[in-house]
Parts: sequence; C-alpha cells; structure tokens
Amino acid sequence: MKRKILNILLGTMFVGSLAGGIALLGGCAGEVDTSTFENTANWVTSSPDGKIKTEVVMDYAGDLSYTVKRNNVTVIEKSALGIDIAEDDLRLLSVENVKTENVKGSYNNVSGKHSKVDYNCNQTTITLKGWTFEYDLIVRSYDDGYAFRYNVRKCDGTSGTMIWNEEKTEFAIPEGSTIWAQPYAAINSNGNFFAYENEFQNLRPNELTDTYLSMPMLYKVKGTQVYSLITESDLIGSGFYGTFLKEHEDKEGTGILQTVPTPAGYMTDDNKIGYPFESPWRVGIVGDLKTVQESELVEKVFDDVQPWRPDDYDTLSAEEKKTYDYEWVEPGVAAWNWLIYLNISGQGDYAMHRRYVNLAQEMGWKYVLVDGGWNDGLQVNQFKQFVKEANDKGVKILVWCHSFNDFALGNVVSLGQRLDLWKSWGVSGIKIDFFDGQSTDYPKFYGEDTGTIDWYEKIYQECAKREMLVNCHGANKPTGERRIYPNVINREAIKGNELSVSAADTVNELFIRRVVGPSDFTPVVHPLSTGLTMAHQMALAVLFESGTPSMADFEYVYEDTLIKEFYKHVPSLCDETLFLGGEPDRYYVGAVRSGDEWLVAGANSIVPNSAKVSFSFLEEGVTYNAEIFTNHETDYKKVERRTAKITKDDIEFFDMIKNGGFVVRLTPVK
Amino acid sequence: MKKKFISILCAALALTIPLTATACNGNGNGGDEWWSTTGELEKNGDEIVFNDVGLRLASIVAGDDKEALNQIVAQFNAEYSGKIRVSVTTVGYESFEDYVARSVKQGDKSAPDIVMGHQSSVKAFLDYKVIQPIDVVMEQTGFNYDLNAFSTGINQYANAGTDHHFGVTVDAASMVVFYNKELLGRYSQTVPSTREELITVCEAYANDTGNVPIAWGTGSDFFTEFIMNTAVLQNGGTLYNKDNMRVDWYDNTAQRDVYKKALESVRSFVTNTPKLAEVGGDDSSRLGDFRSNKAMFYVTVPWLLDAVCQGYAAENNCTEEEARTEKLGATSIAGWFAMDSSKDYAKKIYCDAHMFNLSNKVTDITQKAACLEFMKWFTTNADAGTQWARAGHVSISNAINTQDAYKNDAVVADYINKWYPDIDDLNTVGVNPYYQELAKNLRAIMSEGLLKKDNSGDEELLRTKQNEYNSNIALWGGDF
Repeated sequence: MKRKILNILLGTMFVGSLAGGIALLGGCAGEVDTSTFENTANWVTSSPDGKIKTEVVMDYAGDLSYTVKRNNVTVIEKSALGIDIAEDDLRLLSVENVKTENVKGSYNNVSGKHSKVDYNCNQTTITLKGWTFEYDLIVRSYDDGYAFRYNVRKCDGTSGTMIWNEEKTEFAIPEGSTIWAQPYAAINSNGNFFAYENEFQNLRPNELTDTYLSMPMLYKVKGTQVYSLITESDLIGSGFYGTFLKEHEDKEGTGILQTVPTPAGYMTDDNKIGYPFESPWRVGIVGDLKTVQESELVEKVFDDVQPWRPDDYDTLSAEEKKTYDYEWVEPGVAAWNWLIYLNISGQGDYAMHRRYVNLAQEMGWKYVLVDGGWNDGLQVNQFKQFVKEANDKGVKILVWCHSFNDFALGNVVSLGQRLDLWKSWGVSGIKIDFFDGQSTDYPKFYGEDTGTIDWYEKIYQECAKREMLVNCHGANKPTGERRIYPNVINREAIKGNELSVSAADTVNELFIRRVVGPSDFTPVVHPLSTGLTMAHQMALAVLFESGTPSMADFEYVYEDTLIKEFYKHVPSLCDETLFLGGEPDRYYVGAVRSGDEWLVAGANSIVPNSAKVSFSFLEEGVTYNAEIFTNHETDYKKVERRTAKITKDDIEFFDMIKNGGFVVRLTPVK
Repeated sequence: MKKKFISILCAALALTIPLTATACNGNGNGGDEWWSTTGELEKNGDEIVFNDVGLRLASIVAGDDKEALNQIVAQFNAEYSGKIRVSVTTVGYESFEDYVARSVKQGDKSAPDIVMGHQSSVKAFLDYKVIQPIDVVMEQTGFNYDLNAFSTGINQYANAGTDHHFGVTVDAASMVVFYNKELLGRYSQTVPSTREELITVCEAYANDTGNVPIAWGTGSDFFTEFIMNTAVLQNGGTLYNKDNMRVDWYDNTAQRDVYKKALESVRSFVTNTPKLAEVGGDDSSRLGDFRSNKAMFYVTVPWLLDAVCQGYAAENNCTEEEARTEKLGATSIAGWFAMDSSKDYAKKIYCDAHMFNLSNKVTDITQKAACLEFMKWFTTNADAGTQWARAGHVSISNAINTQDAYKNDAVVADYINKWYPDIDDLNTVGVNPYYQELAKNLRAIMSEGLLKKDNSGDEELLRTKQNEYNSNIALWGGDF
C-alpha cells in the first residue's frame, strides 16, 4: 500500500530517492480513487509504416505497462512490464534516459525461409534506474510486429549474479480472441518432460486458468482479420530459462498471461541470473495471416549480428578464422532410415546405411543421418570405412547422440573429446536428442532450465569450432539461434512423423511452429497412418523449412519415377517463402522458391476444402512447366500426377480431400 | 529417435492403487444429489443452440490410438465449428483416476468436463461424486439419445449399480488373433472356431515343421489379464462376487475347478507335445516369429494392426496393403480356452471398454447438453466409429455398427468384426471399485501358473491370491 500512497502525494513526479518518504508516510493508508490520476509518462513506438503502435506507460504509481495496436485494432490490452530482483527494489524507478532510433539493415541466411532478409524497425530505449541496478527497456515496432527486452546491469558497472524473483511481463489477450496454443503437459509421470511435441489446441482467453501455455502461440483478435503470434527470441546464450505463459492466480479467467519460468526442467533453484543481463526478446508478430506467416521477426531481432566467434578469435590464424565465416555450413537434404526401419533393422546395419548413401548420391541429397544405436558395440574401423565410402561419394554423415548420456551428463570436456573423435572419423555433424530429459539418470539439468539453456550454447560452440552441424531433437522451441550459430541448422520441437500425427495437427503446426524456425518433421512418402495422405506428406516436405530436411521413407520408395524428380528438388534453403492461403484448423497453402524453380504446396485438415491459388507471384513473361500431384481418388497412400503450363496470370483451384493435399512443381520453360 | 516404443503398450490398463481406499460411499440414489444445474437452455425449435461452448475432455487413451482419438475430436470440432469445441488432455493410466477425482473435487478450472476413462473406473468416480447422471441431463434438456442401443454385455454397467445412467460406453478391446493365410491354408480350409479345431490344426503344423504355431507374449500385462479373465469366462466362471466384491476362487469348489480349468486351458498350449506356444516375451518380441512365417497365429492387442502389417510387409517383400488383405487374416479368441465348446459361455471374451462420463464440474445446462452432444456424436457417427475401430476399438454402439459405412470398411470387415464376432459376448470387469487389485491378482495367477509344468500348485496359487485380494479390500474398508 505504501507505494500507492507515495505516488498519490508525488503526483506525476518521477520517483527518485524516496527512502525518507517511505518512512514518513508508512501506515497512512486510506481509500483513494486513483482512477483519475494521470500517468507519469508514456512512450509510443510506431512501426516504419505507422500501422503498429507499441505504447509503454508509467502510471502515477510508477508501474509500467504496455499496449499494442495495429491501426485501430488492439492486439495487446494493457499488460504489465517490469522485473523483480532481490538485490534492488525495481518498483521504484526513475527514468534516466529515453532514446529513439531507427534500426535498419539486411542479412543473408545460410538456411531459412528467405536467402536475404531486410529488417527495419523503430526502437525506443527507456533507461530506468533503481537504487543500485538499472535496466533498459528496449521496445521495437516493426511493420510485422513488436519486440521488447530488458537489459539489466548494476549501476557501478560490475558483474555478478542476481536473484531473479519475477518477470512481470504480461500479454493481455483481447477478450474473445481465438487462441491456438500448446499447453504444457509432461510426457509421462517420471519427470517434467516436455519437448514441444503436442498438438495445438483451439482455446479462448477465459479458458486458460491453471494452464501453462508454451510458445509460440497464435491468436486472432475477435471480429477482425488481425492475428498475432507470441514467442521469445535470443534465448540461447542469455543465461535465462525458457519461458512459458500463465495467468497469475489473481487474474484467473482474464486471458492476461504472464511470462513464467518453464515448468519443464530439473533445476528447482533456477533463479540465479548473471548480470549484466540481456533478457530474451519478447516477440509478437502482428498482421493479417499472410504477414504473420511470412514474418522472419524471430530472427530479425538479431539485426546484422556477427555469428559466434570464440574469445581468442583475434589470435587465430587466417585459416583458423575461416571456420567462423561459416561458409562450410551446407544446407542439404538428409536421408534417414531409423523411423521406417525401426522394427526391421538396427542402426548397426551398414548394408542398409549404404543403400541410403546410394540413395542420397542419386538424389543429390547431401547427408545420411545414422541414428540411435549406431555406436552400440561399434566396430570403429567398419564405421570409419563406411563414412569414408560415403564421403567419397559426396555424401556426408550425421550421427545421433544423447545430449546428456553421451557427454557425462553435460560435461564440456567430454563433449569436446567425443566430437573430436567423431570428427576424426569423418562425421560432419550431430543429431543431438533428449534435451527434454528423457532416458537420463541423475541429470543436473534438463528441459528448458538455465543449465540446459547454457548447455545448448556450449554444444553449438563446440560443434562450430569443429565445423560440425547440429540438429536438436527432443528440444525446446527455436529462438533464432541460427543467427548466432549458423551451424544449428535443424530442430525438432514439433509433433512429427516420429509420433502418430494427423492432418489436424500438421495444419496448425504450419501456421504456428513453422513460423519460428526450422522444423524437423521428417516427412515420409507413404503415410504411416490414415491420419495423413501421400499428397499431404509431399506438401509437408515443401512447407516445413529446415536446413537438413530428413527424408524418412524406405529407400526404394524414392525410386518411383512418379515422384523421384519432385524429391530431388525438395529445398533445404529457400530463396523466398510465400503464404498463399488457408486458415488455422482448416488448410494451409504456401510456395517456396529455390533458384528459378517454385514449389507450391497445400495441406488440408479434416474437412474437404478447395484452395484457390493465384500464380501471380511467378515471373512476368515466363511460362512454367507444372507437375501437379494430387490425392489418389481412393488410396491414401497414392498420388496422381498431371502436367500443365502455368503463367503468372493463371488461377487454379485445388480440391483437397480430408487429410489431403497437393504439390505443384514449377520449372521455367527453357 | 525416441519414444515411439513407450506409448505402444500402455493404452488400456489402469494399475494404480484404488481410489476407493479413501472413497466415500455415495451411490447416486435417493435425495443426496450432489450435482447442480445452472443457466437456461436456448433452443431454436427443438434444437439446442450452442454458441462456441468450450469443453475439456480428459482421456486415458495414451497409446498409438491417441492420434485416432485426436483426429476424431478434430473432426467433431470441424463439424461443430462455432458451436462446440472439445480440447483433449491425455492423462497417463497411472494417474488418470487420481487426476480426474482431484481436479473435479478441488474445483480446478482446468478439470475435465467430459471424462474418457475405462468402464472399470465408473464406480470409483461415482463414489467420489466426481461424475453426474446423464439421464438427468437428458430429462432436463429434452435431449434425444438412446442410451440402451449398445452391447448388452458391457452397457449393463453404465448405471454403476444405481438407478441412474452414469456413462456412455464407447468401445471394447481385448486380445486378438492374426493368422498367416498361406500357412493355415495348408492345414485347414476354414479358420478354427473351437479349441478342438485350433489344437488339431496347430498340432499338424507343429509336427510337420517343428515350428511353434502360436506366437504370444505371456510377459505382457495385457496378455495375462485379458487371457486369464477370458479363460475364466469361457469356462463358466465369475471374476468376483457382485454382492460383496469378494472372490472365492479357492473357497468355492465349483469356482476352484473353473479357475483350474482356465489355467490349464492356457498352459496346455505350452506343455502340449508338440509345443503349441511359448512362455515369456512380450508382443514385440514374438512378432518376429510371425513376421518370418514361422508362427501361424499371432495373439496380440488390436491397436498393433498397422505395426503388424507394416512389419510383415517389410520382411516379406510385399506392400502393407497386400499384407493386410492377402497375406494375413483375423480371428478371435472366442472359444480358444473353453474346455467344453458346447456351453453358451464358451465364446465369451473379456475386454476393456472406454466410457464417457459427465464430470460433476459441469453445472451450466447448455454446457451439459454440449457434453451429451459430443458423446452422442462419437457413438452414432459411422465415420468416427470407423476411425476408432481402425485404431483397434470395436464400436459397441448399435447406431454405428449397423451402418454400412462402418460394416463395409475394409478394416472393420476383415479385422474388427472377425476379432469380435458378437459384441454381446463381450464382458468387462463390471462395477468393482477394487478392479485394480482384482486385475493384479488375476494377472499373477496367470503369470505364475504359466511358469509351472503342471497343475499341482494351482490350488495353492488360487488360495494365496484369493486371500490376498480379500484381505486387501477388507483393509481398504470395503463393506457392501
């Protein structure tokens, strides 16, 4: 109560050194109507196109909040901002400085949805000072959303560790919004295991009580065509834990979601955060569905960041420095046999692996992924010979490992030794699994607690030093890590073919999970269950972006001349990615360009739909040969193929059956 | 690489300590109504108006069939877009009853509105007063739904022993049989339908080839529970006394004989010369013998249909479709363990069943009606029934299993209806609050009995397990 009284008396003054006032006024509580009191200050950050306005307010009591609007639509209702640490009372803040600037530039992707990305935002940095600590609240408005973070430091410039009591950040979802989110649910009762592999549920703001919502989550503001996708970015390397969203117990049923520590982890005492500290970005992509689907905001917040270099970079030789230009990172399709041979053959079957090497060579795919069990009773010379043969054929080998069990439960020395060994055998990268904590005894950390977030970073760095790729499985959500570590080229955190997945899941995964980073869905050709069709699986091979997309069917399946050329052209780096139509829960249609070829794909959910596709995105004056794959009339494991000539003036309608889809491969007529 | 293994075998059994250890003893009769109703129903003519009603469904379905459930619910949501939305929360079988009881009792906002558990849980839920009667809601709303159009053997327990209807039984599942068409065709023109016919064809095959004709994994909890209980039923036994929940497997000499017959009916496949089946292993370890064309029959759980066909196809250079339609066939365990196939109980099959219950959390009349709308749709929509059957669960709803769209589906016709030829022969554990303790002891009788070479220790085994069960339920305060 004392803080409110103080500010009543202080009016709109910025709160500075108030210890005496607190002592003087303590105990003078009374009922006062504060609703008419004016705010202390407000700062509006508009996007370059002026459509998005992020307004931060400090009220009469010194409390910070923000709202976000797109044109006249409120996307975020009044929501709290701020942090609470044990070392200082950061409720009592003075505004030390406010700086506004435009942040603009571009960068090139090694893998991703666009080979070149432009970024442009307006930024407001509000420096707020407590007693001994201060922080910058950095707020950005882009044309496609907003982002903010807290940069905390001690006023005297020293470093140390602070006790992080609470992040006050809220996202107040407008009443009546339709939300698609993935609630936290432990995989089993043996631990807080969560790897972002559940389905997205259709919810309302008043239905979120007692529920931890993972990010990303998508919502549509009621009565509008405005969508917003909330997530976080720049988590790895922050020293922070992964964040979930949950209503505070005082705000049940309101749809006001506060950022809270991950419920998925092992470390119970997980609030010691090093300073100076840059929090992960809190990101809201905002716009119509096309804007949200084509947004790169999760990765754009890094601006033109320099990819990671070791501390001793300046002492390295010119040759050694080349490692950190990351030009050795080659996106490429991976042939993968674990899933389809699960009950048939083990990973020690080199005859099988050699068939996949031959497949990769023939298809022009760059990698073969050798999965769990490959090093059980390993005959080293046999394995090295296999890797050499593959490499001689231009096919690189990636190997599976357990993120904890293979590296002394998270020991960086052990990690380095093991990576050195595998690298010496010719291995090009790792698929590293079970960060969620499964199949691990006596863990020190797992899930998304701070220890695990630090462990991710060490893995990325040790692999980068050795020019090795990383594909994280059983992992947390993507938070833009490939901007700092271009070798982190793929990620699971998706309910893919390793689990029983249906079209009701995949369509919403495309709308939500796909937006925030690479998705190792592991498409097969012939669906593993009736919940998907072959045309839908082919569409997913196009629509889920990944630096090393894992093709997961029997090797002989790809020999089918009906589909062989299509799978030869599955992209691992897209020059351009477009959203062409659809709605969550219904269907998704998108297109990707790689060079001068386009792939258009549609994935349908439960109810049959007809997708109207305008090819206006094609190059003017060019006629394209179109190879069109649609569902077989009766057999869900077959497709039908037809050809056509298509130009940018054409519009086609694609009827999609339940769980169906389509794919169109467009190549310019030479 | 990861958890695909984990979920396969944990779908149907609830094994935890019974809730009833501390349960209160309401029975839903008389004037002690614990449920309440609020709000007013909006109707357009006879139709109830639903406007974006959100429902939470807590489901025990956690195996490979979980995805089928999710897809069926997604279909419902699509068909009822703007009217009713159902979101599914899966809770593992170890904690399902605890979760439902605790969350509803505590008034958690995230507690389920609809519960999809096992039929065997209904008594515990009722004792805890965490579910409410469906017939009352029907009366209040004028909801049209024939609650009696279901398999009689299973549906009889929907009232949980009260005057009210406390659940809608959805399906049933038990152990099922695949057979190798080519191997069986060499020895018989027909699929064996009695124990005698089965043994004849198996002995002929074993004598000719030296192979063990029946592949089954006796180490699986599913096997020991489903097969033990089925063998008891097929020999005229009862699982427990419905009046006092106690068992007399040893003390009652008639029951003792039945149980000894039941044990012997299974054990004899192992002790027979030539050997007709092995002891030990689980479903997956025995599948190899079937895939490699050594075993003629494969006894397993029905939700492994896809895995069996995929595995067989991969090893035999054929497509999965060819495996399912041409290479493999389906039959049931009806009669397999009946020492006298002439008896009317010889074809009985013990099964587990999923049941929908209406949570006592729900008070709003429109929300209650929405719950019923979902239950009705799930148990009358042929497409939903077919999808659920393809996941291994035979529909026990006559509204579904009489429709051509269901009956003519290839998997239903070739597998489901062969596995469960007469749904009225299906039986569940009924209304026993101590069913987990019961199941534990029955499984132990089977697993320990199968390790013995003859029946010399059977009576002592029956006596021990009978007493263990009876003393435990007495300890928990059972007083019926």
